Amino acid sequence: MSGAANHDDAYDLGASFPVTEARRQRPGTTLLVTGAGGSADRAAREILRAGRDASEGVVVITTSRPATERRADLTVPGKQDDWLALVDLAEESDGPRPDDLAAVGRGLNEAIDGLDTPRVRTGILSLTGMLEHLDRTEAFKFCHVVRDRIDDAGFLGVATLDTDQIESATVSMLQEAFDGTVEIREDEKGELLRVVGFPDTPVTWHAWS
Amino acid sequence: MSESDGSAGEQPTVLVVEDEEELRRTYELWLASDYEVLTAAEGEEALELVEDGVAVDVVLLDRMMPGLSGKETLSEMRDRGVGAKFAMVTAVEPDFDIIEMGFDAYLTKPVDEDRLRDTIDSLRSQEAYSDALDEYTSLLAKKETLKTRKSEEELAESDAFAELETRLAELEAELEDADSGAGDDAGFVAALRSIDEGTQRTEPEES
Repeated sequence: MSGAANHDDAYDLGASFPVTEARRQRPGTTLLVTGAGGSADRAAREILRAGRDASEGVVVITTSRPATERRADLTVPGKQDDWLALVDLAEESDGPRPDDLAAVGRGLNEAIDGLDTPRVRTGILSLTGMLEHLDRTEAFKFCHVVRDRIDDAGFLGVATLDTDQIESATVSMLQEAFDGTVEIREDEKGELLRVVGFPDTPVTWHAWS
Repeated sequence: MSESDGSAGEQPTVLVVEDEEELRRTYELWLASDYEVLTAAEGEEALELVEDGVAVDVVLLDRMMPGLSGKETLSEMRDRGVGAKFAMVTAVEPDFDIIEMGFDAYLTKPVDEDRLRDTIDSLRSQEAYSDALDEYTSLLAKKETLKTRKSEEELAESDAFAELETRLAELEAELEDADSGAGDDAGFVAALRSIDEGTQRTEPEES
């Protein structure tokens, strides 16, 4: 089903992704990106931006940061940005509320439809933000249903969790709703990244910059 | 409705709400061999049926009817907590506006027998998926709670924990097989809506 792949239709996680065995992922794969503070967000952004380089579409569900800031995070000023569509769940937006999952789903449908491309990367930035409005069982089911959608459509999905804010039992439970996890941690030399959950990818830390 | 003995109760129940008698009879004829079929000529009549406590698995609602429309009947039924899956039968191709109405599936007229059966099958499959997902999720939460409270040795020796793991594996396989319906726009929203509804039905869980 999902996992590392060398097929032509694989999604490339980008040149900066340090785990060679996991850099190319089969369509339909979902990844949870975990790390402290903004590290997971940075890794997810790099994975999504690699989609632009591959002429794919990108849809981001944004929770904590408003859509305008998110767009600025992901795009280059003055360059074309119609490859990116946002579903804005931030408090001050008029988008769907994060606890109205049917409405979030409709927003996602419309965003995907608007991109009009068969290759799409979706990002939930962040799942931490959704957990302010959902309990862990609701968040789990949400991720599971989204995974099904991604699997069916042959997309690539990422979602981020800030491990400073979410207890480890919840992280470990939510991991089960994804095909694999990209973990980020910091040691005295800098940031490290590893991939967990794919049989053909060794679970070892790699320097990540 | 061919049988009225005890075994008939095991067949899933489909409620057909359609003002055109000929269509009502046709759908009933097509479905009667596999389903308990109930019919209503209009929304109010359908509401009376469910208020009498008749359990219904799937409701087919015609979009345009005298009296309550399909959409109004749907929202009345949802307000009354009818836990069925709803398909709208419509003469116009569903777009985002229709999906907004909250049906779980859409059937465009003219309806033929194969498409009617396929739609009911996929609604039943959506239901099976969300039931399996509910159980899977609550057992996973239980597992995580146990892992924080007990040592690895204690868990390894616990029969209850082993049973939990077995059931989780079974449900994982079920979820793998069940079609959530999330592959299409309406089915995706329907699967998410059943999470929202589950939240309203039950007390918030400890997490």
